[in-house]
Amino acid sequence: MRLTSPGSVARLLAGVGAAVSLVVVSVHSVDTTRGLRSAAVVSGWTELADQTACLRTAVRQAVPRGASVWIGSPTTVDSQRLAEVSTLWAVPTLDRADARWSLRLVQSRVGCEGLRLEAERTA
Amino acid sequence: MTVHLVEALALLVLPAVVPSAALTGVRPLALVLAPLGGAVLAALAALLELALGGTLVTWFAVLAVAANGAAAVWLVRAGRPRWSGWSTWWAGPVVVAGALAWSLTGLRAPIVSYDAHTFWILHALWIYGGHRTYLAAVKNPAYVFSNQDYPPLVSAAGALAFVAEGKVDYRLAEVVTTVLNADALALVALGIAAAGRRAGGRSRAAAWVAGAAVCLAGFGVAGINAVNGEADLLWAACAAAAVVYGLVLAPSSAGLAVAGVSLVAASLTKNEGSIMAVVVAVLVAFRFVAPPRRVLWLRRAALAGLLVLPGAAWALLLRVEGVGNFFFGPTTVTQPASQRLAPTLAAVSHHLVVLPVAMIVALVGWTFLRRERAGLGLANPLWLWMVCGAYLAVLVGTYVFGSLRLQWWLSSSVARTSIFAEVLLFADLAVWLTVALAGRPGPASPAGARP
Repeated sequence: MRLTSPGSVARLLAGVGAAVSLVVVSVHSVDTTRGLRSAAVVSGWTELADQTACLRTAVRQAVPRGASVWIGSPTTVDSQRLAEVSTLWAVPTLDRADARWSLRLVQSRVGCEGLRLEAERTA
Repeated sequence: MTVHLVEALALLVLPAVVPSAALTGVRPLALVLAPLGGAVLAALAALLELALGGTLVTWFAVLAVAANGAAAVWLVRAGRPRWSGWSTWWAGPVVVAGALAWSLTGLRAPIVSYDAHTFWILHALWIYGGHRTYLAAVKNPAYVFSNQDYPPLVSAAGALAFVAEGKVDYRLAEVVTTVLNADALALVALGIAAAGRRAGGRSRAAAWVAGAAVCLAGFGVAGINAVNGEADLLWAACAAAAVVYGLVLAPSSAGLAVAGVSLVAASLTKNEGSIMAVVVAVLVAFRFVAPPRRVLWLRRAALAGLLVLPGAAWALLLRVEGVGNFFFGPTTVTQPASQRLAPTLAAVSHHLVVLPVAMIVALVGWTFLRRERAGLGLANPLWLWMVCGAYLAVLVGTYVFGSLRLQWWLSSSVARTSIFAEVLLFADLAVWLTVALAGRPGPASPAGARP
């Protein structure tokens, strides 16, 4: 390409700017995907998936189908996880007085990968 | 897992193949559009399940039969369909497929993020449970943390995967969402490849490679959010596809169809997508319905209205059911808007490092390469930049005037909310690369760069 006119210089500038940007982001993307495939990442997320599946089963063993449950875990994350794993089996309620059962997660060596479900009948 | 994934994708995609072919013609583009078309059908089925009763699978079957019936009539009336394959560099699709295949290997870890659990998986469970479960859940204050007003597309596709497998499977829902992400990016790549169709061999090949790079860019800027069941990359890639087919390539009926389906998918995927669908639909209506047509404004309003109708119907339904928006609700936050602006701009610009480069390339191209761009049949780049500017204004305005604590809000979301602008800017750079490598334009052709 001969740089004999403003158009040819502009073509070079635009082409190089665009190409370099796309190459840089592509390399970043390949590295990101490589990071997501690492053994540590796979192992950590597999553990979390197993824990969630275990908690789903635990709720189904702890309370009868259709039970209204109040979720009393001290942390927001645990409360929201319990609401999720209870869904399609029990019905979470906002008010404790409306619930037949109280559910909460506690740290424990036994149970689901470091968490144990505690269920208590409230009414 | 593989068998269940094949079954889930077959259930989602196959009902949309013939309707996609009716919209775009019998060509590879129809096969790439079909997964998004199936997801739109699933989302509409979820909407009808919530509004009228019944189950997802019943409404999905009804919609699939109706769409295929209409498409068959359309194809028969249009005459014997002919397969039009890739009319360009054969290795192009392979390069795009390779980029996406590599990105999909990020699925090796069963990553379902906290937000994916809290929003998309939880909503998929409600949809899977049938009308009574779904309606009770969106009105249950115990689920208020779950953003009950979020649109249903990702969750409906996940619930349909549960139907295919016969049981709840979080991992399967996550994989289906990621496949849809890849499909939407493939649609963007095909649009960029179409931008180089009229150019010489070098530029045509570069357009395909640039399209593949935009696919990598989508997965790269989204990072872990591309493979963890979140909906942000999906709406962003759908909206970017709508911009490429509706506001960059030469106007055509196939381009309008792809833009329309992509826009509906974006509007039914996330609230940001619903807002941008309105902006893009108005611009598409202005571009496609040009003077001197009779009743010009009415036609424009009708086209824009048709494109935003599904998203608007969802928003209206949720308001009727009394479901509010989490981000603009009552607040105890006392920080004034003026103090929220600077940190918002800092956080957003941190994720838009490509913006200055894209602006310089666009300015240089717009000043000196306008003739080459027009020679490829491509639209004025201002259309795309209007969308980008509007989105950044909406994004900054949401953080500044929203009701959540800003520091937490920005740190937990700006990496995801900036994806659309980033994908759009990389798509613009890919188009400029194609223009820069194209030779001086030859004699004008009425065909233009049509998809």
